[in-house]
Amino acid sequence: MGRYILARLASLLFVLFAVSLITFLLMHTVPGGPFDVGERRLPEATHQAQLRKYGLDKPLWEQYVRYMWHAVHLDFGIPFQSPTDSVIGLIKRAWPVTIKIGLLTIGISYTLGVLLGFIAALRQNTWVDYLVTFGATLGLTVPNFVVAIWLVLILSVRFQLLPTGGWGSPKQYIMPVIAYSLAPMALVARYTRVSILEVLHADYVRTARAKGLSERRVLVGHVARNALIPLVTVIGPQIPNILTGSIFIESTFRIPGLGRFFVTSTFTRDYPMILALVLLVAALWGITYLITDILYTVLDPRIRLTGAAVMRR
Amino acid sequence: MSEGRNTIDRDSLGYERIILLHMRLRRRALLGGSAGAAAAALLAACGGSTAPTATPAPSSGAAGAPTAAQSAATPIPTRAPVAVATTVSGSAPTGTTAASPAATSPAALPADAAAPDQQVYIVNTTNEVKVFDFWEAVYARPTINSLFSEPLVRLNNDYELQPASAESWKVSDDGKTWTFKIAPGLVWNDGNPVTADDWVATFQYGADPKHAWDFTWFFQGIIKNWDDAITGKVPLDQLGVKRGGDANTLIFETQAPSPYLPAMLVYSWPLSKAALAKSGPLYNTKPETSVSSGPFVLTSWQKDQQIVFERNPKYKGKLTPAFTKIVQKIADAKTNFTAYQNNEIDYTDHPAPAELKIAQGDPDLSKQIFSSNGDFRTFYLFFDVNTPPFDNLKVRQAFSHIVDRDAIQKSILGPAGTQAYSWLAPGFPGSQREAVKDIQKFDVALAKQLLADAGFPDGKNFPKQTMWLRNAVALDQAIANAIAASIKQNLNIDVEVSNKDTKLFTDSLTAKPTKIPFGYVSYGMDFLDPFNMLSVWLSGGRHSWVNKDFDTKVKTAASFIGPTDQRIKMFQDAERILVSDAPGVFIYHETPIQLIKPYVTGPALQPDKSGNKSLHWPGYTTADSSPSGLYITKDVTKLRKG
Repeated sequence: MGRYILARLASLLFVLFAVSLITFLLMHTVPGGPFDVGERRLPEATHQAQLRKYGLDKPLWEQYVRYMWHAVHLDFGIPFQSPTDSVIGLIKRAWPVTIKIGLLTIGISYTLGVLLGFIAALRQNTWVDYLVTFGATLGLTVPNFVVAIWLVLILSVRFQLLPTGGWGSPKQYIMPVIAYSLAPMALVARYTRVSILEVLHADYVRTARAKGLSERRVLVGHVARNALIPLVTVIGPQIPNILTGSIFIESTFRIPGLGRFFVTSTFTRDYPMILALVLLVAALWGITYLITDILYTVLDPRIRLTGAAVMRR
Repeated sequence: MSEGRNTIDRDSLGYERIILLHMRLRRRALLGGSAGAAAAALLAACGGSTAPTATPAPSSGAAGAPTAAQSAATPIPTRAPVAVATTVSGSAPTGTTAASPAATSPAALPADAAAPDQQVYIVNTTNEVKVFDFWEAVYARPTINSLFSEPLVRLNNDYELQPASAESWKVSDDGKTWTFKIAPGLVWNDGNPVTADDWVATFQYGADPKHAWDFTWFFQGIIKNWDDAITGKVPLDQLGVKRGGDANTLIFETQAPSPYLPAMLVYSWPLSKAALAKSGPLYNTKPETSVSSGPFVLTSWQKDQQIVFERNPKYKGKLTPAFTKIVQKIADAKTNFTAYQNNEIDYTDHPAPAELKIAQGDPDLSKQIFSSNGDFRTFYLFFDVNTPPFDNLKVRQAFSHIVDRDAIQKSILGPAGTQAYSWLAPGFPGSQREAVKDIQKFDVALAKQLLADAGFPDGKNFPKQTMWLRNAVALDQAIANAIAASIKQNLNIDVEVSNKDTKLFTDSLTAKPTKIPFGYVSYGMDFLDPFNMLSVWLSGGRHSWVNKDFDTKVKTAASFIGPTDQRIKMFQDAERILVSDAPGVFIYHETPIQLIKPYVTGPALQPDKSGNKSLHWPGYTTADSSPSGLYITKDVTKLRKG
């Protein structure tokens, strides 16, 4: 197991290197630069001076080598968008905010999702089931920024119950977490329902009942545990998404999180931020998949994690 | 980052399908999660093709003024607030009735004013705040900025130049040496006096090639040795900004006579020489190192959340602000209107068309709408005149005659803009809107004739065109589409409207040769002199149009030190050439909408000379008289939250 994890982490390092190279090349092929902002053409001397100031006058390979050299020493540069920060400092400031919202979202949406899915499956083809299925379809199809705007219009503008946005007081968590939770909750509810339904009719569940186990032990020990395996597959990859935030949620509710930087960094050609964020996401995905794979072994003892075996799968 | 990556089948899945999916996802995991990362990289790289739906307001002073443009029927008398070439003696700023007691004591408040602790002005600011100082980065400052020092001159409510830090100024006979007398007694709150040396250090910082300021073009061709200083050819101490005989005398030397120099020096907030040396050029970004000689100091900057300014108890200037505190909430511009509706902020501008409709339909909000001059911005179509088919004057003229400006004004713009037939907006010095109105008038028959004369009868063989837009907001996308439809309908030419992000657009526009054959964009003035607006069209400037006659007229007028009306006439002749040769087709002058809560009032919101009412450019800064002319009334308690 230890060797397997080490091997996976090593391959992740290689992936990060590849991702950094691809991203670096892609972002430099996009026209425009971080400084094309003004209404007027800058004197050529100033333009050259700007490039020099930020090291962009050097050949691309040299810029990349320099970047990687500093990155290895954990210096990711100064974001063009925020000259008073370092890239690390900005991420340290903004990411915890996003993570707070994200963890609340994951906690609420996954708990409620599993619960609703479970109930719907046990009450299959009753009005409860239809209601959950309908709600879940709605949750998946209405984009979160639409939900966010509805919430603001109803709770803030119409009834003046909550501030339209901002950060600091618990009140300000309510709308963003609701808006952010609906889609993952709906997704989890639907998968839970399907997965439970499949397991409910499995032979081993019939066997468990036949040998006289209580209904509670059947549901928890046999149904839930087996139904969780496909769920982990679905739920796992959602986590890095949620933990890196959403520009729509964050800009609608004035949340000082990391989500918006994924988009603004691109529009402002903020090269140091783009690279850092892409690497962050890549690392997060790699780790999530690793954890997901380890979880399988916990849930299903038949799954073994040996490098070669996994490779063949 | 979570949007658009959910590719999982949303149907109810059979167990087998789940297992299959499970296997597929695991395989992806083994590729190291690279699918997600690649998607992110791709997103990062492909951002160039479309623009986000909202743009922040132009960043140089979000406040503007109501326009004379509204009353287009009455031509606005033009004033040139420039050319105050004689000695002006110090006088109290602007017509505030709020009295001006000794500046060191708080302003005496009018009877209906709220208590000092409620004199808090709250606005939203764009989330692109990087710094506070003009000299650091012009396009990355919060909505309310430039309160930490005072420029040499400022504008009153009628856009007229008034003394600010300078108590008087005079120009030499050859028009090339300007001497400013700095008012004695001004101090930085670290105890240092404000002296000519502060301006010298500030201008040297602006020209320093190591700094690579984003506004170096502004003084290019104007201040002596500026052009060579920014390339590093001459040392910074050779710059034509020098200390005179004593610490309170500041001398500007210009390359040519520049009667508009005082108008430019509205942008002359000094940095503190001592603070620059001690804490570096970003000294104003932290309360601990910030130093102010203006009416406010930086109290806090919570990144991505809010910025707070409070009154500077050591301020010795002439402004008499009523506000004791200014709070700027950092927000996406899209959220401004709902925050305003919910009484969380006191001011917002540039509402989206749908938001303006809501405001107009609301009995309370409709009274809070102000139509301003903004920065006298003109929106226009432009052509690359060096490549076919737009190298043909007749083609450009044909395009200039198919824009139904009245319909656009009526059905799309409403109070947010007024018809443009030329470059200089009504109310701007030199504007001659009525005189040149017919040159690009709406005339479909004439347009068709011109196109046929150019060799494209009924648009036959005319290549399909793409109209480039620069990160346009909904309003301008609607206008661009209306124009494209009119071109198709009347000239039978296909035009695709393509909204590009700012950097791609700017990079393509200024490329040599330009990569944009046909586009739609705007320009707003930097200072109140026709030279500033007209210089956009000089050869080698923003566009590929080259007209020697125009260049000569504009440059001659710019340095003309004779009578003002004669100078203005020269600019008007140049503008006529511009409109006739049609490198651009002028669509509308923006009159940006401001929404201001009824409890924010004062002389700054009284009608100006041309009768319009709103917060004037450049907004709540020491370069404007408005800090003396605004206060919060007792009504604030009825509406404001918290």
